Amino acid sequence: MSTLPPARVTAPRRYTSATITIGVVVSAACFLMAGLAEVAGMETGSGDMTDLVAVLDGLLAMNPWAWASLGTFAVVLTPAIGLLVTAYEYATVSDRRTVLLAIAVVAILVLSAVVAVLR
Amino acid sequence: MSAALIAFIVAIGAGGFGSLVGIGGGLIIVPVLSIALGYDVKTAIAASLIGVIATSLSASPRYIKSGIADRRLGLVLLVAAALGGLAGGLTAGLLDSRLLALLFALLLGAVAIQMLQQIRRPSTPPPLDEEDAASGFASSYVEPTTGAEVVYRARRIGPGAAVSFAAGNISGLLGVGGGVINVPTMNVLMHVPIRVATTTSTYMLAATAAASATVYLVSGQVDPLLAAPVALGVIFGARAGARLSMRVSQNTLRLAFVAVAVIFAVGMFGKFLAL
Repeated sequence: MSTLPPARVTAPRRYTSATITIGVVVSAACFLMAGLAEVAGMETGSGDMTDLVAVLDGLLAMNPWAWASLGTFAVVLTPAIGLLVTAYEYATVSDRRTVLLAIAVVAILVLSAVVAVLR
Repeated sequence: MSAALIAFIVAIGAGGFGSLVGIGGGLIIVPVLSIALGYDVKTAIAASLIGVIATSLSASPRYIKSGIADRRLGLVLLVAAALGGLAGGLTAGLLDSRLLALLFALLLGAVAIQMLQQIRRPSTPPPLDEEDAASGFASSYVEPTTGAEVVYRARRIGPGAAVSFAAGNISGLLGVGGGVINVPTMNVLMHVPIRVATTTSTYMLAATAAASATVYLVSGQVDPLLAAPVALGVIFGARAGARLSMRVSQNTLRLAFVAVAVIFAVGMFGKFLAL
């Protein structure tokens, strides 16, 4: 097997790794809070997850539902943030094609979600 | 034992296996939540999607840091799959889902046979020349089981992207996730080493599942009290799976994926007969 090195400069990886790790830690902490609140017998709470005021009120009241909702938001948002950080990492090595790809993925995903919601 | 505890325990296994072979783990989570625990199928799918994202997020930092996940290749396939998903809504009415299920079953059967042949007769990738190196899709990684540097080039980028586009287009119709298509596309079609294919697929899953999860979330079908134990379970499981992935040989990874392909092929054939 050839040992010819890749032609391109390798983009840094640590920022994407760190961003994703932070997202995982935040979401896991929220889910654990939900579990602890449940075990402590706090009122479960319920509602529409997209009603951010209800989620905020529930967080203050230590409702398991609200903490689980916050953790879920963290999980769903982390990939898009990670892709934007990836775009930044490739920008630092002037790899414009990969920067555009990362931004395009985020744009298409946002667009497809918007189309699905409007349908 | 409460439903949340059962979901948590099952999710640990699903996250571990999913991160190992590059699939999300929905194959395990959805049937357990819907059949064994009695949740509505859409609620089970929504919780599973949160679990798939968590699997990917939990395993990806290790795969990215080690340089094994090929992010550049993953992004190309992600663009194609996302565009396919976007076009899926327009073409859904034109496709015969029964015929697609049969074709998909046959395709996965062929993939399983091809991968088994690779185990029996391992092929040496062709040496790279200057043109390969300049293509932008030549890369390398250090094989964790041997310590040797493996240099490869992803070939057939166009056909690979076309398969991803088609996969994104039909995945909603067939109810299949990305991993079962991503891994053979990269390994069998594009000649990417199986370890790179499984780790890159795991990296890609977060973005594709997040798009679907957003739809479920906005339409009120995500039950956060079910998603929480699932996500927490896969976070633990996927971290262990990512660690284990670095210790198992490429043939073991291949064999594990063959098992997944066969299960999906049987499931799709069953869907063909039932529709």
